[in-house]
Formats: sequence, structure tokens, C-alpha cells
Amino acid sequence: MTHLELILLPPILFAQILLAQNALAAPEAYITNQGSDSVSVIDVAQHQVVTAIAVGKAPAGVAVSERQHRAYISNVEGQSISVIDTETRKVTKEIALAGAPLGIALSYDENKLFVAYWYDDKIVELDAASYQILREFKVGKSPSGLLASLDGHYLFVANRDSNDVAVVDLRKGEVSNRIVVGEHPFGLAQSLDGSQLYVVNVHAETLSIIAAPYTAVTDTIKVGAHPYCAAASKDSIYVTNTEGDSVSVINAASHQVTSTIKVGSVPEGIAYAAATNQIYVASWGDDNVSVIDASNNKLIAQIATGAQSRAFGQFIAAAPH
Amino acid sequence: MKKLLAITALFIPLLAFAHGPTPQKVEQEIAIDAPPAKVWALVKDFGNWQTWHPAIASTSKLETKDDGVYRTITLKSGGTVYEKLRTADDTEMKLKYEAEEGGAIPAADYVGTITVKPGATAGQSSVLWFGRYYRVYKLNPPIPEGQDDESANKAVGDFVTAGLANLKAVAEKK
Repeated sequence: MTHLELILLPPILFAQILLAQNALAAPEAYITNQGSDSVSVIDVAQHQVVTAIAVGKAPAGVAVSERQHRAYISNVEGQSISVIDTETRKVTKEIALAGAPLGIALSYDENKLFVAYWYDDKIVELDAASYQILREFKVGKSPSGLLASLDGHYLFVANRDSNDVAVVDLRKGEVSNRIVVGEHPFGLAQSLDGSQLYVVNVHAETLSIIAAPYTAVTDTIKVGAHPYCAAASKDSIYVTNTEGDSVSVINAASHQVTSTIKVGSVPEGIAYAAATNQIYVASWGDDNVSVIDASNNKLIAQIATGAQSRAFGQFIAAAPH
Repeated sequence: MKKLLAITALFIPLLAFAHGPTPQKVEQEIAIDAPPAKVWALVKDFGNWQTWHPAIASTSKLETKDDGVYRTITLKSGGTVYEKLRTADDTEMKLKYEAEEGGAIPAADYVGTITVKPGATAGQSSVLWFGRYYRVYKLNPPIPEGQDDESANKAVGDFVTAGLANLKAVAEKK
């Protein structure tokens, strides 16, 4: 339907079409299945797997762009990035890389893609249009979680084996700071307004909070056993505890752990779906996804996916901006 | 000298990196015709797994440290593995333990959980052995033979299969 036809429609019908289009654009979760070399696509509103897409060997990291209609998948053992067209649900490109890519994230404007090379202590910046490598940033040991700040100025990197977070100043093109956190930082998340950076420390079993302007740890919160990743809703922070088979819920204002929710075994990746106010958790041990209602923090569904689901990164697209 | 360098090259990566990026999984379950309490008594006895695990020749005296109880198991095939008991929960009948790196089983950062549950009928049990670990090699490919995912999976998988089979045999003895 063209724009002109839309304008000519009676107002009520026009509203109905808009609603229908919103329903079609309901968010999807892209769950990487390390053991089956695939990505399960889940309709977030329906709690159903729509399809599974074959990607490279041992996929782990994921970054989704609503605007580009793309999901980027890091194939750790395949040493590549699979680019999925989320409308046709086909892999349109496999970008070969000379390293083991794990963490992956888009820049805030979604024009750049950042990839962490686990063994080479560096981040590469790719042009999301041409897939050419633009820049490389030397960071700490075993770079893991990646996250772009909402002001577009910084890329945060969790250096797992250096016990710090590298702050890459993207305008200057250099690492401007290394902030010491807990032992073995892995996953990163931020508050919805971007003012708080959350760092999950695996061995310390804590969450470090780094408030803007991102120069020092402003608080540290004890969580569960061997935590991996975090996600933020409007008022809470959710952390997966891989050896507790649970998710710790932290009040974002008081920084108190308010509850611990049992989920599938070895939970890794976690993301917030704003459209449904739900938390999605990938369970590596049970090959499924647990869904938590963020309004009451109850487990409301478990959805079977592929083998060894990890979903490391922003696997549900943020609202277009 | 060449040999020394090769040995050094083998050990430096182990110290430099905590583990690789791709965890591996073992998950096996067996039905046992014996009550859960009887099976759990065998599993929780961390210092005596040689009484039911056919790959273990002997277990050292248990060593209590600040962060847990440790043992060294000696394998019948040769070599030892230094292991730590994390938890043994009598209520859940769940034992969690980990293996220190560099032992006779070619896997890294192994964490295993054995859970004893009631079986299909009274007097029967179901035992689940779940483990997460990594391959030994921790650098970019090429991955040397014997240090890859396949080697780790085979060694851990065989250990679990043999253990569960004989746990069943021992527990089912009248």
C-alpha cells in the first residue's frame, strides 16, 4: 500500500492498518544455539519459535538492529559473523574473521559493528554497510561483553582476564580509561536511560555499577553463583547466575537484591523486551528460554530452542531511535 | 632446549587464560533399581568413588581447606585428577564438584553435578550427571590433536558413562 492510498483511507481504517503494522513489528528474540550451529527466532508476544536459521560453527554473540532489519551473529569456532536479514530470515553474508569472535555490539547509530576477539585482546570496528574493518582497538585480556553508550561517544568492553572495563572513546579513537571492577567481568548492560553501566563479575559473583560519566565503580552488589550477564527493565536489574540456575533481581534505585527467580539450568544471555515488559533468559543447560514477567518477577513460560542456547548480547532489538 | 621451549609453550597459555570461549556439555541419565537413599550414599561419599566408579583406582585422604574439601583421584589408566567438592546437599541429593586443570582427563574448568531423584516407581532412582567444561587448548586455531573439543568430550563422556553404568550395578546388588 502506498502512502497516497493510506492518506485517502477513512481515518478509522487508517488507524486499524497502523495497529496491524505494529502487530507485525512485534519484537523477536534471536537466540544463538552453540551446540546446533543455529539461531532460534522467537516471537516475543506469542512465546513461540518462528523458525531456526543455520549459521556458522558455535554461535554465541548476537546484536539485533530493528532499523536495518538485521541480526549479527558471532560464530566463535567458525571464526565468522553471520548477517541475518530479519525480514526474509536468511543469512545474507558470512564475514570471515581472523580470530575467535565472541562479544558483538552495534554502535548507537547502528552504522558500525564491534566485535571482540577473545584470544587477541582487541576489538575491531566494522562498517555495517560494507563489512570492511575500519579500526582496531587494543584492550585487555579476553574481551567479552561489548556495549555502546547511548550518547554515541563510548564503547565499553569487559576484559574478563584483566578484571577491568575498557572505555573506548569513539570520537578520539582510543581507549580513554580502564576501570577496575570485580574478578572476571563478562556481561555488560545499561539502564534504559543509559546513565548506569552494569558489569557482571563471574568469579567475584558481583555486579559493578559504573554511573555516567563512566570513570569509576559507584557501587558493587553481591549476586548469585557464577553470574554471567545482565539486563535492565524500567526499575530493575536482572542478572543470570549460571551455577545457581537462577536470575537475581536488583532494585535499580535501592541496589538491593529483591528476589531470586529459578530459571532453566545454566542461564547465560538475558534481555528485556520493552514491548511486553518481559525478561528473556537463554538456558545453556536446558536448551530453552525462560520468560519472566517483569511486573511481578514470576517465571511465566519456557520455550524450547536449540542445543546450548547462549544469546550473548542484545538479542532483542531496542526500540528504533 | 627445543623440548623445554615446547613444554613452556604448553604451559604459558594455561596460566594466561582462564578458559576458552566455547563451553562443552555432558548430560547423561540412568535409571537404577535401588532406592534414592542407597544411591545417594554412594555418590555423596566423595572420598570413596572407587567403590563404584570403574575408572578410579583409588582416592587420596580428603583434604579440608578454607573453601572446600579436596581429593586426588588416581585413574586405573594412569594419572591423577585433583578435585574439589563444592556442595553435597542431602535434601536435594545433589553433589557439585570441580576438577582442577592439568589432570589426566583432557578437559579444563570442569564443573560436574550429580543429582539423585526418585525413579518411576518406589524403590527406584534416576541419576542425572551434568557437566560443563572446556577444551584444554586456549589459543587461536590450529588446535592440537588431543586438546580439542572432541578429545575433551570423549574423555569426559566416557568417564560419565562408565561411572553411571557401574553405579547402577553396585547400587542394584542386594
